[in-house]
Amino acid sequence: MNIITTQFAQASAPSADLFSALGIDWKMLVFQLIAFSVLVWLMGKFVYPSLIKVVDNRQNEIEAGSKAAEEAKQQATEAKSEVEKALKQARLEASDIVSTAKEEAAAALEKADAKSKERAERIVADAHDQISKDIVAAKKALHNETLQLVAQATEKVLGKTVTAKVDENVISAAIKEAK
Amino acid sequence: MAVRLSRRKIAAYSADKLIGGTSVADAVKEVAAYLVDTRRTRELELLVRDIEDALAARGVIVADVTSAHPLGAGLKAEIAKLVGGKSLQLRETIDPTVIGGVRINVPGKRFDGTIQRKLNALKAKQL
Repeated sequence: MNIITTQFAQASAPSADLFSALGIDWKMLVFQLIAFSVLVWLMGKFVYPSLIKVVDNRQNEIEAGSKAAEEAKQQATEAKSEVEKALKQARLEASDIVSTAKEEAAAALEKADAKSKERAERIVADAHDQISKDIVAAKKALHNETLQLVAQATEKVLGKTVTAKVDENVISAAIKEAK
Repeated sequence: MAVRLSRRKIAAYSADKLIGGTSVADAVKEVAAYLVDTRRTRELELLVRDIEDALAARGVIVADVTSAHPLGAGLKAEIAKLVGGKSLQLRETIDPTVIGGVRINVPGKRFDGTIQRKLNALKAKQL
């Protein structure tokens, strides 16, 4: 109880003694305040502007980067959209191309088929013609050969069978025929 | 050297001589001598033909007859009838290759009634 009373008594002492009581040298305090003000002034004059400038630049760069990133993102989105559009167009065109190619292939196949059919028919017709010609030639050759054989056979047979008497009749008939 | 005469004149002269009664041997000798003298022996065959033509024009016919067998008198008469003319002289040739029938050659005419000719005609009828 006594200690508490002493403390209250000391706290209520005059202000000049207060700094001393608190261990503060007011001269030093004033000096420090002045020095601090000078420091603040110097910092505000020389350091802070450059720092603020750097910070502003940095902020501008960040904002520009952000903006660029945004634009890039937007461009990427647009590019993606365009790519999708182009892909869609390409798929459409590819589909058209494939469809056209299929149609052309079918037409070409049909044409080739018709051509081969025509060629086959022509070959068959030519073969028939050739066979007909061969048959005619064979008949002709057979006819000629038969004539030759008949003539030779007749010659041989008559050469042995025509006697003087028969020959006389032949000559007589020939003379009558000539008259 | 003798005067060069045409074959036609020589043929007419020889034909007249033969018809006039000159023997064949004499006529042949005369023509042969002339041909030798005029160096025209190469024309002998042609001259003989011309003489035959001249004889034919005067009614004397020389016929070449080819057959496979010798001709009998009947056939010769038929041939003479066929050939005609005042006088006919046959020159027979036996050729077995004609097989049968007869071939008659007279100046300006030819008759072929042989079996060989008919067979040849048959062979020629090729397609």
